[in-house]
Amino acid sequence: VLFLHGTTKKRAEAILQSGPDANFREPNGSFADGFSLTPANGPFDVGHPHDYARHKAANFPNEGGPAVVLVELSVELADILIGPLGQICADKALNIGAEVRFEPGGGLEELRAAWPSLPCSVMLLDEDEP
Amino acid sequence: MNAIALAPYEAQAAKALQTLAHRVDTPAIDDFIMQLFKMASDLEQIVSCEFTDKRIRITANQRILHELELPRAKSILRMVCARLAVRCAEWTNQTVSPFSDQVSVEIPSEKRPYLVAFENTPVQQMMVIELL
Repeated sequence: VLFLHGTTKKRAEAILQSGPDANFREPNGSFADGFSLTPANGPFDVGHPHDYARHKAANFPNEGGPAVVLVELSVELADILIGPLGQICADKALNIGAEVRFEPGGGLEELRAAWPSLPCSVMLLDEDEP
Repeated sequence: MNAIALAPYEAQAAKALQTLAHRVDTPAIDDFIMQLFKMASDLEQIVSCEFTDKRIRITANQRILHELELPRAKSILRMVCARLAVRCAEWTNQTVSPFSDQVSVEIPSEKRPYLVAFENTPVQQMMVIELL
């Protein structure tokens, strides 16, 4: 299953190298808290990763522009890490269909552990493409 | 407005939050959002919803109508705010930031204007809806 994460080039490259980091600090000092993925085929009910990337790049203009992390999870791994659609499952990522949210204690540690072996890449976006 | 007059809306707020306690997907989130609009319309007050200390809280003119502790409350409200941004973009046919924005919207089914503001960042998840 292919997933997307919209962000900036700088953050995408860090994620590609080290995996998602819940301790990542925003420039204002706040923590990321978790990591969101959107199924590449949608639905995009809570926004398109490209839009997130472009808005984030606009908010952080010194981070190299918009980028998308592409990561592929096997169906078996997705079943282990991600909770059932619409249900809050204690130790798995929250899955609303349009977004999967990994948090500490909710699939993030397992995702980080698997990250080095996952097919993963970064796609750079044009800043103003619709 | 006194506490007695608010009572029906406290129940309405509790019902709205229970929507998210039972299921968190796009239809449930849409249902929750529309219940917030209805409260803002019925009360003719500023209705807000925010994450605070593991809870999602609904207020009217800064008076707490109901709050509910939910597992993953912050992530859930994060997704609600994100969905609200998408809906606002659909209703207004304009670009709405997924992180923070303020827009005037007219919901097609109601044809009443609302002011919607929201913040959806690592620091804060909150939304405010006001009937104009």
